[in-house]
Amino acid sequence: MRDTVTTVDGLSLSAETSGPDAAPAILAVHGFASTAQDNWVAAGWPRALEGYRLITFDLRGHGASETSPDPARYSAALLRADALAVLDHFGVERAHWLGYSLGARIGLDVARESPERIATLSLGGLPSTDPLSGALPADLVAGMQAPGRDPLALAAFAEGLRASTAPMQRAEQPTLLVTGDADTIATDPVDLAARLGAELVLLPGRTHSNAVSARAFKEAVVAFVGRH
Amino acid sequence: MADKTFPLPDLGEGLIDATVIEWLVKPGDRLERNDPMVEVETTKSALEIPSPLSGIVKTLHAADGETIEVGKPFVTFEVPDEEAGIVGTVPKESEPVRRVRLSIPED
Repeated sequence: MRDTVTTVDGLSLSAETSGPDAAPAILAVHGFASTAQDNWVAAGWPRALEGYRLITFDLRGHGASETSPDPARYSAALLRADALAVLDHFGVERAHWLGYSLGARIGLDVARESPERIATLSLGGLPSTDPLSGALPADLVAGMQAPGRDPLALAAFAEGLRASTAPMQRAEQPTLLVTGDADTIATDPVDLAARLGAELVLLPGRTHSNAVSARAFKEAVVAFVGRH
Repeated sequence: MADKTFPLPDLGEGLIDATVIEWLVKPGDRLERNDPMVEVETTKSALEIPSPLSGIVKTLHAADGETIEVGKPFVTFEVPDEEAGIVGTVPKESEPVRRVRLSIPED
């Protein structure tokens, strides 16, 4: 079921839920310059997470959600509020968080700010430094220009988030970190897992862009969520 | 038994080819329709393509790491003779989402 969720500051987000309403909910949040469709649906996650209530949405400035050219509309606080608005919209009090890259980083922040809403954190491709800080890597810039992307909105997103991000800290929730061992954006996963008190699964040969479809990633998340 | 060969499907958005990340099956495997079959990567994203039918995998036409053009033979299944003449079809999606699926082109 596809739906429109209105944010606290009046933007429309495109959100979708599949699976039984009564099943445990997993909120899947995509990475910067991606979409729910590319990051999760096309990569095969709905099949892998059958039996759960899977909730996905396009971050503001991305995909079918509303965009703004104003960096102030992309603060870390607004991004956290968007995720909670999606959960509220579907009547979900508590969900497992599945995030990739920037979507993983937002999850860590939501888990700390609103711990009662998040049961566990499954974090893929999480960079160990602040998101979108400094010069953007060339492949991220290329991703911003890809078909269907709004480069101006994404540039405003990067600027707004960079100006409002607090240092990364560990969350109380059980945390799983999954990273491709050929990922040049999310480097030093072993150190990061130790800092976050997270279980670590490394994906042999996988990069930042092709880790999302890995069977081992899906199996790790299914096993981890199933244990909690 | 007869062979049924599926080409790499149109991946949309003007993409002309894809690189096999990893086959999740091998020749001789029996698949159910919709079982995860292969992961491919385009310049845009990584995709998991499910099996288009229930049958036995006969030939994989590209190795892991190999780049294949849209429309070129991708995978061959062995199917009972009575099914061989039936042209594969793409199930219509009611929602505006794009799930990449294999089908046999109508000539």
